[in-house]
Amino acid sequence: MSGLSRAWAVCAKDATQELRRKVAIVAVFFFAATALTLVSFAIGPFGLPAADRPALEAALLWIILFFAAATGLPRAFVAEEEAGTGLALRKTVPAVVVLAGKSLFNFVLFLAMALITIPGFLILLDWKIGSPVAVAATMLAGGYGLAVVSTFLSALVARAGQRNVLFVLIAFPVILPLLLTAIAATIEATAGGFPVTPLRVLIAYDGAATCGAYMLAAVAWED
Amino acid sequence: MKFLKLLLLPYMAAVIGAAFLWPEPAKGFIGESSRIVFFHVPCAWASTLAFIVAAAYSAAFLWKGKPWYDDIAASAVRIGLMFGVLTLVTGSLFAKVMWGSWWNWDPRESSYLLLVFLYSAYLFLRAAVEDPERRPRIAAAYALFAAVLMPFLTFVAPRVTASLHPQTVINPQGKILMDTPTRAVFFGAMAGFSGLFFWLLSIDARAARLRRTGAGVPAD
Amino acid sequence: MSSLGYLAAVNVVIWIGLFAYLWRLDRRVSEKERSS
Repeated sequence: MSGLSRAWAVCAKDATQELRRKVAIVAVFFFAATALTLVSFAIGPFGLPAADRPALEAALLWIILFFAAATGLPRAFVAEEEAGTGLALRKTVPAVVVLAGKSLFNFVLFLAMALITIPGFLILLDWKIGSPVAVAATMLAGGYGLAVVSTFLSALVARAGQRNVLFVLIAFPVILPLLLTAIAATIEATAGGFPVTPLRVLIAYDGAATCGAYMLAAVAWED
Repeated sequence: MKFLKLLLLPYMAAVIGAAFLWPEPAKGFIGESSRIVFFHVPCAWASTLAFIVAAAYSAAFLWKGKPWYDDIAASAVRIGLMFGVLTLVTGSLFAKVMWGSWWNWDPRESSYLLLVFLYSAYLFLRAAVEDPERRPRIAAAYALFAAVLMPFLTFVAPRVTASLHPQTVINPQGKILMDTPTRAVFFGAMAGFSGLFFWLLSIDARAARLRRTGAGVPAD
Repeated sequence: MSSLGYLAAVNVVIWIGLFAYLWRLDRRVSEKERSS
């Protein structure tokens, strides 16, 4: 089997397991739904001035997405450890392939989350999107980076103590440039423009994160 | 080496004295507040130096496997954190004097705060990995991964957005806008703080090696 | 004494104290290294 098809197999395995047990998926969607409702209740009734809303809504959207991801994505490797399958996986599949497979699964999970949260914003907060194409591009570029970084970092913390807090703590400084840029891109997209510069930065970040993660995958996910 | 350390005493004493007494305060600043540049910027430089050293020795550790390299990397992060906090404190004092508030969410300020978070995260990660075999490797992997992504933080954010930060050192024209006494004390302080960093690194890393090896120090 | 001169003096004294502390630390580490 070639590397790519093995990566796909890892992804499919994770997807099948999650769809069967539904623990991570349910947790992530419940988190997103709760956060969305909370945000809507908190700022909806107060009638914020129109000028301030784009920035606030973009920031809140990405905060919700990040924390929902932080809830679900670290499970990528932690679940393996808990199920006891980690050792077997380490011995049979190269680290890079495992990373690719799990990143892909996390990316899909993120996109699914975005597909639910964004309509939620549209309905509950009367969010206006100037350029849907730009928003889609931002979700793809931002979501990919988030998935790769989260997958790599969850490999690092898989066999450490205090995993939940630890993950957020080590993810935060590394992911913030991505979040800031994604928020800037989203603001521009809601205004109707196409955020060329932020998207370029996001793609550069995605490239750097991918290179870093693949070069270090063997170290993170080893015996 | 001992001579260099001894030399640091009068050298830094001279730099500190000069910082207050020789150059005139810069125009456009309130009162004497521009003198902070002789302390604030060298601290920022020292913590950046720490980052570079930590990343380099993390890579060396993953490549060669010598535990001494990991001792150095971890020490560099600890000392970098200390200088980072000092940078934030001196910067905050300056901000209070110049603009009336302790913190302004200026991009450079914020990316610096994030660097301090990064150092803390590294140290927390080390503390959380219980297995002494895996700990240095996990820490090194994180340090290098962060090193790959740091340029986005330190270079993108301040460049893309307008900044409150004074332009005297790193500015769009690329020139150094300082008079001679200021320049002399400034570069003198930079050299002195760098020396101080390496000395602190040496003490902390050797102490870490002693803690790790207990009684005997291996001849590596 | 001018206030700047005063500030300079205070800081230099602090530095001398810090230096002495670091020197002592360095000495102790060196001794431990030699003895082990």
